[in-house]
Amino acid sequence: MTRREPTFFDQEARLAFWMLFPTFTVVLAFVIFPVIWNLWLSLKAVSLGDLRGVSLFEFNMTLENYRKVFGDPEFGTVLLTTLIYTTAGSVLSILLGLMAALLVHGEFPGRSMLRGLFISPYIAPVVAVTFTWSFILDPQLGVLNWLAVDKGLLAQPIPFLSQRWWDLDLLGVRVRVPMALTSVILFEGWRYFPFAFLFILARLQAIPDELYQAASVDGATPFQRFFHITLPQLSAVLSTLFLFRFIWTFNKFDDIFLLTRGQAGTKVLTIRVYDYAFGEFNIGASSAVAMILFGVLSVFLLVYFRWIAKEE
Amino acid sequence: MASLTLKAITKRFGQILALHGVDLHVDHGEFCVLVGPSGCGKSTLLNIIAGLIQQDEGSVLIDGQSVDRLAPRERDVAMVFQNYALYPHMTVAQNLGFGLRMRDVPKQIIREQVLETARILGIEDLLDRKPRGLSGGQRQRVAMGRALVRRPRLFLLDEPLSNLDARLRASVRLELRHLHREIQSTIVYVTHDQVEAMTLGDKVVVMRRGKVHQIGWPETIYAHPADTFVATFIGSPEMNLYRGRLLHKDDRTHFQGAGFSLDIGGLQLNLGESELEVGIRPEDIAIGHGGTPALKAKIEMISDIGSEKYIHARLGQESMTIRAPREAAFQPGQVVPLTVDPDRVHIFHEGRRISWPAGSCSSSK
Repeated sequence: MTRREPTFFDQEARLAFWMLFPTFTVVLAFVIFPVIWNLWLSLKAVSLGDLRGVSLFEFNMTLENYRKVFGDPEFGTVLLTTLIYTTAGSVLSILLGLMAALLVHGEFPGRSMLRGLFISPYIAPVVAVTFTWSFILDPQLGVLNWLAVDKGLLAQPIPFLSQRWWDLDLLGVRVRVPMALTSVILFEGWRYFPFAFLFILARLQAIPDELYQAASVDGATPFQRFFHITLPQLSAVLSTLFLFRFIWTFNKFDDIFLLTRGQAGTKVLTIRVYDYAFGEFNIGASSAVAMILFGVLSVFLLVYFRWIAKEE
Repeated sequence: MASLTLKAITKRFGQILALHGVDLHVDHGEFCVLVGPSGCGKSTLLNIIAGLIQQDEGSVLIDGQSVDRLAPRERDVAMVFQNYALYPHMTVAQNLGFGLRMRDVPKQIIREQVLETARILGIEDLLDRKPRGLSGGQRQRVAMGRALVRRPRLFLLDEPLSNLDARLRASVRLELRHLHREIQSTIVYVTHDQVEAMTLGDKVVVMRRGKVHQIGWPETIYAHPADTFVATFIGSPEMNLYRGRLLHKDDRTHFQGAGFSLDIGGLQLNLGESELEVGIRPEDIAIGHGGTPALKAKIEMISDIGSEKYIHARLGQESMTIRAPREAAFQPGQVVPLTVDPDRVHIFHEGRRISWPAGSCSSSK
């Protein structure tokens, strides 16, 4: 057998392999392995105390955990709540980010200060801001309720974060608003709009002025320029933002947990994961819910890349 | 189609005076070219006509009506931008129809007019493509089409050919000329390229530093430049320009330059011995005997561009460019006698043209 001298391309390929190796190891250890491990756990009857046991490696598969999770009468509500919370929270944060970006796009004194201010919700620690908001919204001690009652806007304080339904009288039509869920979604929009704001502002400033000039000469009004130039130019960044925000909000646990503990109609799947693991010490069921989160997100990604991202 | 009048347009950007009292009149169906070096204010002027920039002083009139208070969309003008500014998310057809769509023209009519415009420009097969997939020349056509489709009162073109390669530029220039003859529209065209200005314009406006230096027919501007800037800016190779004094001797006038003397005939000027400038175009110099006293130049370099030769020579302490036929056989280092027709000599005093030879005028219209 004759050994061929390694060519330049062989050397390149070998180098590429070694350069990819660290990343590959990290992905394997912290992404792929946990998913497989989680799947393994979800197919076994494991309690919190069993986690250290040798029995984990026994091959005794069961679908009991999934039966338990899907058999839970609350499950449908929790899934629906999660989807509403995720979609509304993502859309709201992007809309607020869009408005903020349009606001500071033009030239005016104090613009850079306002920009800095807009970032603050995103960089403030979540524990601090949830505590602050709980305090502001508290029915007994909260400044918002006090102000509203004092000025006669409200007859009695609203427990924003602890009341499930709020009956609203809109011009004679009675509407039932899911109070706590709405509050949590508003918080989500407020806290994460800076992320959308930064992306949108960057894209906004990259739109050439000539496009607007051409549109002006072509006879477009300011509104038409927004809908025919700005929005289409932003569409790629907006849909990417929606993708990110949807994934992250779907997996969000800390914000909602710190605000409501999942009470008053704000129980989402991540809180269910927590409840099973640390409320019932049922790691198996907890893992099963986590796998359902994973499955729903996978379906979302599939839909996103097959139909939404294709329009670009 | 419309006429355009500018009255004393002045514009400042901070401390910089971008335009300084610009007056201009463009007739119905006239092709007017604004030409000047970059930063001369020609694009600013175009944007003011379009309504994209507000002038500080002065007035813009279309068909005699002031449009100063009208937004760009109400002025009924069309503009072609240097980098075309095509809407990247729209197909060519949508790009062409955008202006009509914004004016709520019925869909059927938009379709017809887009198709007709595309046929005129030969871009029917591109209608479903996005600008990203088009070549520079095709984009330029779409940009032209977007202006054409609306049949506006006035076309404003901002260096529309500068992003094309040289060969394409020449052919599109010809097409533009044809197109203008066909649609008979009023066009204001901005360029820094004197060849475009001379070949396209019915009327050429030479600008520098926010001021109009000369307005006239291309021939007039070439033959009778109003000042030394216009003289050197228009024409390639550049006009030879020399500083010196006039001397009167034996009924004849001589121009005394640095290290040479030029006979300029019977010119009678009451400038005394004051300093002035003399300009001679490279094609107005012939190599060969004739002049007295004989003018002699030493050839330093020869640029052969194929169709003709440019001879760079030294005349006294000055340098000189001479246009010679391609058969001309000279060698660097050779000393040759020169002949200059006194009637073809341009004389400038304090930068302004002195009307000479008698009978010709320094500004047209």
